[in-house]
Amino acid sequence: MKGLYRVMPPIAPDYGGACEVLYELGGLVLIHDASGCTVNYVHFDEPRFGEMPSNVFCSGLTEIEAVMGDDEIVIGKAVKAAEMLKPAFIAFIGSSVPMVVGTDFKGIARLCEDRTGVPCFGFDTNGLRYYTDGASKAMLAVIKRFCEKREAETEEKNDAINLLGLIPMNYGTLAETAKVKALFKNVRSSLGFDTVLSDVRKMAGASKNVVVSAAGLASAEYMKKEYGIPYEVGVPYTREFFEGSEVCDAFALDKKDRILVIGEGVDASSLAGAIGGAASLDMFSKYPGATYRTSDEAEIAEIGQGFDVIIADPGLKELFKQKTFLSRPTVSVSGGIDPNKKF
Amino acid sequence: MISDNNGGLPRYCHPFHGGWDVARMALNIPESKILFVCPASCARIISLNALNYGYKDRIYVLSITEEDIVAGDYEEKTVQAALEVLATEEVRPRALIIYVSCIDAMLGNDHAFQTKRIMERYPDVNCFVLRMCPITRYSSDLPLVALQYDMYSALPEATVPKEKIVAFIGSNLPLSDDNELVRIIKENGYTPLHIGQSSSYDDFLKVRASALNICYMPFAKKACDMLKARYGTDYVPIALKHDTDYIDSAITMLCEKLSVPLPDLKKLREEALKELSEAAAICDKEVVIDTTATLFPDELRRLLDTAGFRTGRIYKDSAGAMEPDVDSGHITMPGKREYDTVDHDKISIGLVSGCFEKAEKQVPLFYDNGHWGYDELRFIARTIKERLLDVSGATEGIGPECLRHSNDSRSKPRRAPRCGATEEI
Repeated sequence: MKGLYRVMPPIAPDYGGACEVLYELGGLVLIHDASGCTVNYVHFDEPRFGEMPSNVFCSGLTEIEAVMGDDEIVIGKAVKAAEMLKPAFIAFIGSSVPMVVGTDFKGIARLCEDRTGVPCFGFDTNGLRYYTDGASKAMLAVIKRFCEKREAETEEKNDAINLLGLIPMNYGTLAETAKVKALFKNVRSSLGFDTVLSDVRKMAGASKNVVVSAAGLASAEYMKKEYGIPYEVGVPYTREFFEGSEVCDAFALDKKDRILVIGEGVDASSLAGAIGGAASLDMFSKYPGATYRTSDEAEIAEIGQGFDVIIADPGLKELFKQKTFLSRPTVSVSGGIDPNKKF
Repeated sequence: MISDNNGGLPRYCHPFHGGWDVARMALNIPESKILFVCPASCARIISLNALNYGYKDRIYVLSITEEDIVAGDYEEKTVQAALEVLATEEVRPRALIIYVSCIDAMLGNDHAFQTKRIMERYPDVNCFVLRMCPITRYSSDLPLVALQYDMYSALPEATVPKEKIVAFIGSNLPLSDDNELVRIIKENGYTPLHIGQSSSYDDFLKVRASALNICYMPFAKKACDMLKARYGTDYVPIALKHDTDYIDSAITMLCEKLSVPLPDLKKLREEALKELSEAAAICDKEVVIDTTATLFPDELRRLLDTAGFRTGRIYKDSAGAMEPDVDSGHITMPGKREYDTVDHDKISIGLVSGCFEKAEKQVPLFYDNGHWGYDELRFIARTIKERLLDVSGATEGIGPECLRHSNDSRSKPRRAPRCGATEEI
């Protein structure tokens, strides 16, 4: 049955993606929920939470507040917290209950900005879409708000690039995220990871954007149109990059066309291309460059039947019991947990 | 602390909540499986906890889409998904729990209609609905209150003869055999019953036959009231508290209800306090406490003070919902949260306090840990001693120990922290 998950853990949601992008930028991030959504994010979707403090909080939404549609409460909390924390911006992040009652996040952000003078964002994320969607919205909003156009006009030609879509959820660990970044030279900004707000302001001065996950596609299009910055899509993976991991074995296999890489669209397609002739399946974003696009467990299992070797997050392993399975953990699926290690 | 309980501030959510989510609690019902019907995001934490602790094969998720909500057809999809789960299970579960989340509370679905259709097809399966609705956490229908109530309401109503059973209601873990309550129950010919201890659904049904229930957590009172009304089972409220007078009175109350002799309370108390004093004698650190370790942190602090420990700040979070101690003024988080330093003068009981105080040592105590009474006091003394004598990890300089542990005392570290920055909060 479509939508029924027996094996796969549900994928990281859009509000988590939005929070990931904003995590290092010095803002106050307020997830508008009762607490479950925030705990979900800080526990499983944000590998930096235990290492790098950030002002990510929960609005503590209650049933009566939701029913009465009393947005003044969340605005009041944000205003009071902003007085204490002096954030660079305030972001209101939506979840499923505010969606049902039709919360106007952009309106809330406008009211809060009027009151505090601090730049505010409102994201109508709802927990029903995937992390790439939320990350895409947050990335685009931050660039629109903070990227300074004069950088594009005044800066001379250079080799600097921006990485768009580089967020830890795409990968298994923070170390792997850093390793992907290290594949590129002269990176001016990698919004979402290892980038602060002052880097964002200078993004328009770069000569090229590189989109490393579908979360960066909308921003790349915007910056092309607004600043005339061209973009490329893909990650230049090599066999050496995966040295020491199971994925490395795939490069030595003969029948490459019997390999299916499952994951985030741009990333999976890049890996499939690096292996040479492998197919890719995008679980999150309907990225057109992927061979297949679905997040439905039954469909993923069915597509996988046509291949001998599967490269995917270990959370999918049980779907492919008869296949050779090469594990590529991602925070967005198994949340940093090794499903094969039972406590 | 940035908290919502008072002062109208946003709420800080600590990532570790003890490894016991609502699904794991409900799965204490033997031979049960769960079908979550909710946005995928709501079921994510449940599924990942299940992966982490090894019960993923008992959980299914029906992911709701925006189309489902607008069209209103996910009531029917829920029935179809449940029927598919039951049709394809190799060993059919005795209970199928349909778990819904906050969004369902807002949409108002007809669950009776759904479970009726499912049980018409599979009459040997008890199908019922539980709610995972943190949005109700400040209402009269608290999530954990509702969970306990709904779990035991799902017992098929029947007239059952009483047996010499004493059932524990509200705890996640069965109490250890060293425990005074268990010893009293067993030594006097009764059988202690904790549904999580059994592998048979029939033992869940036996709750109806129990002679006495022990209401082990404050949030189980509503369930105990219901069991009393339906099956005539009296109950005694016995919470996991650290006040010795309370412990004595609780044991006395149990013995009176069962009409059995009282153990030597004075001896039990002296032995436990002696062990605590011994631990205090070797403890050269300030003890900080929070509500992940106990629902009644002020009681624990008073006990430790009496035993000779040097106690410090108390961190309270959700305790407000649990009839907690409220006499402490020490309820605020410090202004700084640092991950790259360790305070060698601190030992924490609880994860949140350990994290915020940068405590070098953390005592893995959870507010529901399988101990109670003087057994609990001896357990605390023993655990503090073990932690003080264990030097591993103390000198690595990579951050507070709490970030390397889930606060489920039976779990293992999930990920190691790295040095980080300092945050003003």
